[in-house]
Amino acid sequence: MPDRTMQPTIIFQPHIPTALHRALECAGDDGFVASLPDLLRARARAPYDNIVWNTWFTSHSEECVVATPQGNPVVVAIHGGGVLGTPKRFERSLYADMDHRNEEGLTGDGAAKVTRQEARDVLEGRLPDGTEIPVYAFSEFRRGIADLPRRYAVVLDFELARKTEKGFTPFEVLKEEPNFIVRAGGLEAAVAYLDRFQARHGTKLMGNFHPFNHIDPDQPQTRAIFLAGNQGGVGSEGDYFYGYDSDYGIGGYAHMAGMARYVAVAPRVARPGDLRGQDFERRARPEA
Amino acid sequence: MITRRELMQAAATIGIGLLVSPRALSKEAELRMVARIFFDSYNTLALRQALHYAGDDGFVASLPQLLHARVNADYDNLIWNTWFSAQSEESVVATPQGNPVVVTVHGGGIFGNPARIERALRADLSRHNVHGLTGQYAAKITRQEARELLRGRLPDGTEFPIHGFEAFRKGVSGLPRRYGVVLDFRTAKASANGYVAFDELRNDPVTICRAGGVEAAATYLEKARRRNNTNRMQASHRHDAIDPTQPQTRLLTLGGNRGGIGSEGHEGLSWGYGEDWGLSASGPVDMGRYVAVAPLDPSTDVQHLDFEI
Repeated sequence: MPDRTMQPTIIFQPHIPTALHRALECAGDDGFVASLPDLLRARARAPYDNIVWNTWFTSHSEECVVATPQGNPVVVAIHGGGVLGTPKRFERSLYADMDHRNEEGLTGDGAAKVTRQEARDVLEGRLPDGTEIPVYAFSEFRRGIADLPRRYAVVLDFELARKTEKGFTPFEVLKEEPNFIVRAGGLEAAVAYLDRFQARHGTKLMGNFHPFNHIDPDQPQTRAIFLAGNQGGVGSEGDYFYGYDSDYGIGGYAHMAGMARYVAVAPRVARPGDLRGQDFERRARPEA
Repeated sequence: MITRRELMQAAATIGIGLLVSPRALSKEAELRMVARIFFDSYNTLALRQALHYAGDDGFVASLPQLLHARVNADYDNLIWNTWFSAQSEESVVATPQGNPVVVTVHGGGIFGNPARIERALRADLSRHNVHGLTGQYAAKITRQEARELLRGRLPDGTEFPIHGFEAFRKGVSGLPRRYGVVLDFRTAKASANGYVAFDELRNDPVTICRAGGVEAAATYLEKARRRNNTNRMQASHRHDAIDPTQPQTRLLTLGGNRGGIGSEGHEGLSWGYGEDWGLSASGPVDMGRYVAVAPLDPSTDVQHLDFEI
């Protein structure tokens, strides 16, 4: 019986929906596209010279700002594919009339607008493609959920998310930050990642950004979350900004018309005839 | 029967405004210049499709051509009511003497080639790489490309005339579709930025380079001013926030929205793509909306066929 292993593949494209399309195809029915908790978990277990530490990634996670039926704004973090979980829905935002009064399209700072119906559905754990996912309140999530599925949502009060420390923040503060705990996939996962990150260079700060101070929470909107990284983790305390090459920790501001680098994980059966592992280098023939 | 080549030669003498208009050049000619918009959420794809449509005898509109079309169009025409990407770019390079300059190229510069844009987007984005993007998301160009650009040569071997800003400001007759203008970097850096009074923009060096000359700038600004009887318009650049020793290029864009609302600025949050941002420049990671113009025989086009049963 041949070995069947889960094999990650990095999918980069300078256009987010194209990258997502290819990542989902690569993952297939039995695999998945890595969410932010998946990426952080992979980093926590990987040596620092692994590529997962040394470049940036787009996660299959998003942060959606919507209002409850009572009119209170909340942040719904969705891991494993949310409103923008399909390339088609992504494209709908990018191809919309960008008039600022349009219900669809992008907000002024590049988030994808979510319709009122989508917003209502998200709160009930229903996504535009019909998928249903469990939704947890933050207080419950913080205590820990046993057997979290790959795809789920966590609801956080908007005011709480807005007050979250923003920017390059001490590790000890981040361990208690509601927004960071949700992004990491739980308290334990957050602590494990932060400890590992801190130990890389013995640093004191890590970037954790969010846009909640300067958006209009009455406009339902969502963004895919990006995980920063560069070769060697240079400037991860905020002393080096250089566009895509900055290690700003975790974003939250990303413009939805941009580049993407997803990780797709899919079961692969190792066969003797596989191309991977073959030697393509030309070598001198040994003397007869 | 007029050939495509003859048609293009005739068209060049008549002017681009006519080309962009849907009017036929000649009743005898079966071909007419037809403008089409190519939008894609991935800029490179939009440009590739626009170039394909333009073919050998057409063109993808530069910023001066877009402005000229606006000048000759009604305000309710689509050309006034959305934003466009232009086949124009601004590069910051150094002269052989080491002085930084801004080279504005209209009609297709280094990044007039989709493959070259792709090379920048797919490069290792490390700051140490000579390819890729700068920290402010402009496309890096190599020292060799920068040197060649100053001589009016593109990586694919295309040559075009380069004019110094002073000569250009005085007026250059018979400007071809593709040309470059060299402006001192310090002058560009001190140029108007933000929402600027029309009177100031008329004499603004960066605006004059972008618009295709003093007269073209003045004509466009007057038409833009009259639209909603406004006093200011947006014109933005990043020359005060970049490292001029890193050769780099940005693509020029033309803002617009339905009705030209908020073109003097507006209250509240940004409207993003819905903003009327006037004349601006952006990096290559973006959406694209190009206008391509090509000679077509209307009788072979599906546009006016009746498909309704």
